[in-house]
Amino acid sequence: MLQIFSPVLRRSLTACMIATPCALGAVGIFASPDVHAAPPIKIMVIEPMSGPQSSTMEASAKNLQYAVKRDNDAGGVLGSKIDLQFCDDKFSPKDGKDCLDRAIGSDTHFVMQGIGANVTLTLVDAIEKYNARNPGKELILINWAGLDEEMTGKYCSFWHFRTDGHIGMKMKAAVLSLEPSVKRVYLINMDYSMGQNADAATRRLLKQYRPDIQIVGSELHPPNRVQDFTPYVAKIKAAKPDVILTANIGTDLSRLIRAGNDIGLDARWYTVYASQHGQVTTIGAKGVGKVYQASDSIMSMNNPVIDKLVEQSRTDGYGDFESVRLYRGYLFLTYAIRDAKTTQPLSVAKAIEKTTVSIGDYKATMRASDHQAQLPMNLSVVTADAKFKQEGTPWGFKLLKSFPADEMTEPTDCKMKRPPGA
Amino acid sequence: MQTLALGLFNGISYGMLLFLMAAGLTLVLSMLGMLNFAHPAFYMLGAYFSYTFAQLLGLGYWCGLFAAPLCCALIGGLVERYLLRRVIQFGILGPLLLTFGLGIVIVESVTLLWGKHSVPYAVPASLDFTLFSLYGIDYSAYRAFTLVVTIAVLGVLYGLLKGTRIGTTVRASLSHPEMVNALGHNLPRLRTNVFALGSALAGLAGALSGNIIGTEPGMAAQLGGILMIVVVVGGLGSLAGAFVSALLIGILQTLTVSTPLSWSDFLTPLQHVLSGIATNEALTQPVSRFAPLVPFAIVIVVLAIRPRGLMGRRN
Repeated sequence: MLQIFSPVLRRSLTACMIATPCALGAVGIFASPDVHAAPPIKIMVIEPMSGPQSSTMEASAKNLQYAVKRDNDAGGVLGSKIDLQFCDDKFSPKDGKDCLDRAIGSDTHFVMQGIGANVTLTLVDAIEKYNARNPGKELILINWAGLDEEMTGKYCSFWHFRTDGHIGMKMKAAVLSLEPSVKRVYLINMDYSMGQNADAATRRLLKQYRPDIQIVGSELHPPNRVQDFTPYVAKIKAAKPDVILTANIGTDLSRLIRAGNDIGLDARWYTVYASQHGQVTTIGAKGVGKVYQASDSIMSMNNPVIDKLVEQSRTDGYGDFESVRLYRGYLFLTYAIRDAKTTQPLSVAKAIEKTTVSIGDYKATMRASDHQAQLPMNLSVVTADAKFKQEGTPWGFKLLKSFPADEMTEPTDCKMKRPPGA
Repeated sequence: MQTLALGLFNGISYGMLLFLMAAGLTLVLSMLGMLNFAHPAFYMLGAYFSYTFAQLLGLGYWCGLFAAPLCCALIGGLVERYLLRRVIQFGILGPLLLTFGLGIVIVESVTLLWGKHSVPYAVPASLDFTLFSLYGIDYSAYRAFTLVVTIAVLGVLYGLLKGTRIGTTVRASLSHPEMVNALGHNLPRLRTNVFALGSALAGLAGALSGNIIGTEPGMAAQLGGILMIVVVVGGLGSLAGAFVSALLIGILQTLTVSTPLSWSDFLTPLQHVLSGIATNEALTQPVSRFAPLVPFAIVIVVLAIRPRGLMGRRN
């Protein structure tokens, strides 16, 4: 193609084409900031970024990006910037393992995961095996949302840290906040590991703390399959409970509550996941004063530091901070890196074991015996009276009661195998 | 008795809704000879369009209810005219793959346009009251309205197919397309219209039920499985079969949820023979725990015993 140009022009063009990149390169070398800057601290978040479970993660991802941006703007951690990567595990253990391999390949040592107990347990297993064979290059898993009790019980691992209360702790808050006048209770949960855990934990806790309460019925339904909950809520209404306890999540929760509203079910709902993105919109006006939540945090925490974070996140365009769940997991990691003064995984893991995270007055401490965070649990209710309303609706969650961490603590049967040097 | 009455009522309204969706699919299957994998996606589009017209554009629920099926019909017609017609020549696989991919594209487009979360498609205030109360359970007027509309639409469809000239032409072209073509009827246009009608039926079902069961991008995938089961159990290509199987599945599934029986209760008559087994922990599980798996159990039984479906033709 160059034949169309005259020889002189051709030579000048060629010369230009060689000279320009060299010049740019030279400028680049001089213009590049700190050639000796500390390497970034890489964190990989392995979650369903696509598919039906991804809507929760979309909003939480923005929350985490905001937290990382604030830290990076303030100089990073130990002088290094945080490099946050997201990997889509499509809610399947196989893709979760692929993401883990990608983390290993990109020299990432800190992994965060929470949605999907099936993925969590696969990752814990893979990480244990990898860490045993690669001392000095281990990976740490921060589990910020998986609630099965066995993850810090039977399946506990030195390299796994759970930064949220498990389902037993959350149900304990729900059970302890039931008034003495509540005598009849109905349990309905999704038929998979977390739902079965919730069912078993609720029964255990009711027997322990409220033996006067009668469980008038319990139901386990296939998760994400039920379109119309009318027959289920008809059964619930026939049993005449005062309170319905459920750990349902996502569409299974909103459809359940909506069906209950449709048939005139008058009981109160004690849930675990009602404040997630999209739920308040679907629950609607009929949920006000009737839908409660036992959880680690909500938007309006009556805590000036958290309030400020929520407001700034909104104004800076990073959306609603529905809860500090993911943020707290991230804080456990960054606090530990600062305390250990290194990013060496073993030292960081040992530091996380002794870490207490604080956001204003809010504190959460890691328990070394099973790597389960000890934190306060809260009971909240849907109301038009909340400080922060969710998703543009006139409703939000308001704190009713706060249980301190030492009241929420639960025993564990973890027999942790500690690696050499830990 | 209470359980039975409740189960029947709920089962019938759920079954009618399934039939409304399956009718469109069966029509397209008999006429065009292909299974439209994008049918659940049109159902989802119907719900989203109705939400958009009713609430986002503020035109009211009734406008949404009319506009949504029309929009779905338009899209369906365009899909048939410009996409499906080109791949029909490739045998069965062409339209199958096309509609499968189309379904994925539609779902992702909905996610892009309306977001990943569920949208607040609401029941209209004019119908949001309790019509009657049976054994302590309130039945909302809106559910009764959905049932009435479904029956009316299906009645009109039946009348169209059996009573009018165009219905006769459609029925003739199901079995003798070349003859109908030779007699001068515009067969390609007829096919486009039937596909559009099928999509409109799916859209109507979405518009009617989206506000009861929630409108979110995952609704198409959840329904797709059940829809295929309804059509297969009824017999591929049989409208009456689809009706029977939709009601059967709806009623059986609802009754299974409502019953407090467990598996061991079914084995009580055989207790003497199976004395140890009946008290096994797995068998004391309530049957209701497996209720949404009832359609799958039905399809396995039907395919094993009568593969052409309840009323399908031996092909």
